[in-house]
Amino acid sequence: MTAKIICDYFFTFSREKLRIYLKQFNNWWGSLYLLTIFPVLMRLLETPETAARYYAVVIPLIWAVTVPQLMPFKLTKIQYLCPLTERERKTYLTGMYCLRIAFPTLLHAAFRLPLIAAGWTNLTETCFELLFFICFSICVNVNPATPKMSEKHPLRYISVWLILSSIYGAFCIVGYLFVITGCSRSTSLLIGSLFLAIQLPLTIRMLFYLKHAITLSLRYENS
Amino acid sequence: MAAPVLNLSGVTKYLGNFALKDLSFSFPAGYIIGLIGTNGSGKTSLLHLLSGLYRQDQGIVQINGKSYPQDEKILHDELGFVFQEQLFDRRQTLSENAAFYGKYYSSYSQSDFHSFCRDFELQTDNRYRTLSKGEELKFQFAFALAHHPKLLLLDEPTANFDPQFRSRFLKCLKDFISDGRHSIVLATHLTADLDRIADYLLYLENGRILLASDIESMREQYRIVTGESYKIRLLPAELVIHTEPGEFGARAIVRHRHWVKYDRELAVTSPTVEDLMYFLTKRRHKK
Repeated sequence: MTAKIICDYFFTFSREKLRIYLKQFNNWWGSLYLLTIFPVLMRLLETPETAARYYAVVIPLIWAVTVPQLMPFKLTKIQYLCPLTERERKTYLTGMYCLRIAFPTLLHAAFRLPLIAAGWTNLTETCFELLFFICFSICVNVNPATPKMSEKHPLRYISVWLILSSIYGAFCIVGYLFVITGCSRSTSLLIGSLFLAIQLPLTIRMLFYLKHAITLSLRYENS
Repeated sequence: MAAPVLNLSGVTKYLGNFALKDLSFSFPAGYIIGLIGTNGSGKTSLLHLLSGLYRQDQGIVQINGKSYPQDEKILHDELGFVFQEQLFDRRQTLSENAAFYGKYYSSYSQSDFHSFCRDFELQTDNRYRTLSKGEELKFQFAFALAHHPKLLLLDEPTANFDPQFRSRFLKCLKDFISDGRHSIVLATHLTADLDRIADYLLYLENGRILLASDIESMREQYRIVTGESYKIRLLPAELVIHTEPGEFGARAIVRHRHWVKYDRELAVTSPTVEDLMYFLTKRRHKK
C-alpha cells in the first residue's frame, strides 16, 4: 500500500496530464508570474539573500498547488471494486493526503537549510514559515478531497481564505511585507504571529472536516 | 432448483432524476443471465448495484446468499467484472496492473492471467494506455477470469469485439458456467448473442423490470405471427399484445396458448430476444 501511495504521488506528472494542465491559462501564467515577474516587480532579486528566501517559499508552493490539480484526490473505480476493506481504502486515502502535505513541507524545509547555513534566516523564522506552509498544504488539498455529497460545505470556502492568508502570513514572516511597506522586522513577525494564531485553529478544524470527507469518500457513490 | 446466485427483493435506488424501482427477481446459479433494455434503462446502474458501487435505498440485494456491506470483501473476491470505463492504471503494463490488483484476490493466478492473455492475443508488456477499446475489454476479461470469480458482471463487452473474438468470447462464457457453480450477468444490446447463450432474461425499462424469466419459457409463452392483417385480427383479441402493420400485411406478437388455432396462411414462429425486446417496448410506448 505504501509503495502504491508513493508511486501514485510521484508519477503523477505524466506528459499527458502536464500538457492539459499547462493549457489552462491561469495555471501556466500564474506559476510563471510568481517565478519571474513578481520577484522583479517586488525587487526580490536584487540580492542573493532575498532571491534565495523568495524561491525557497515559491517553488514548494507551486509544487503543492500543482499536484492536487494534476491528480484529483480520490480512489479510482477499481479500488472500489477490488476486495479491499474500508480500512484499507481509508489507509490509502489518508496516506495519500499525508504525503501531499508532508512532501512539499519537506521540500520547503530542505530549501531553508542552506539559508540557515548561510545565516540568511534563523530557526524561529523557519519554524513559523513551516507552520504556515503546513496550513497552506492542508488547505490547498481541501477542494480536490471534497466528495460530491459535501460540495456545499462552508469550510470549502474558508479554505480559499486560509490559503491566501497563509501566503500573506509567510511573506510577513520572511519580511516581504509588501502591503505595509517599510515595516520593521519585529512588526512583521508580530503580524505574522497574529495571522498564525487565527490560522492554526481553523486549519485544525479543517483537518476534522477532511477526516469526514475521507470517510464519505470510502463509498463510490459519494466520491 | 439450485440456490439463487442473485436474489433481489423490493430494491429501489434513487440516482438523481433516475431511479431503479422495486426490483425483485431471483436467478439460480450456473446460468447466463442476459440483461437487456433501451439506452438509459438502468442496466449499468443495476450492475453497479450488484458490484457494490451503489447501495440500495430500499430492499435487499443478495449475491450467493451474501449482502453488502457486511460481506463486501468476500463478495468482491467472488465477483469478476468487465466495465466500459478505463479501470486500470494507464501508466503500467498489463502484467504490472494485473499483478498489483490481483494480489487483493484470494484465488488470483498470474500464470492463468498470462495464459488468458496469450489466448486473447494480448501483449502483457504493453502499457494499458496503448490499448484499443476492444483490447482493454479483453484485458479486463482476462483479469476477471484469472481471479476465478463465481459471478461475472459484464457491461456490454461484445459490441467492441471483432466477430472472430466474439465467437471465442461467447464460447469462453459457456465454458465458464459449464460446472454449474459459476454464473454470468451479461448486459448487451446485441440480442443475437443472448439468443445463442443466455438462459435467463432480465428486461429493464426506465429502471423497472419489464420481464424477468428464463428464455425458453418466454419463447414458449409468445409467438410472432406474420401475415394478412385481417387474419391477425381474427385471433382472440386478448391474446394479441401488439400488432405492427407492414407494407404487405402485418406482424404481431401474441400470447401463445395450446388451444389457439392459427390460420394456415399465417407464419408462426417463436420470438427471438430481439423480437421480444422490440414488441414489448412498442407495446409499452403505445400504452
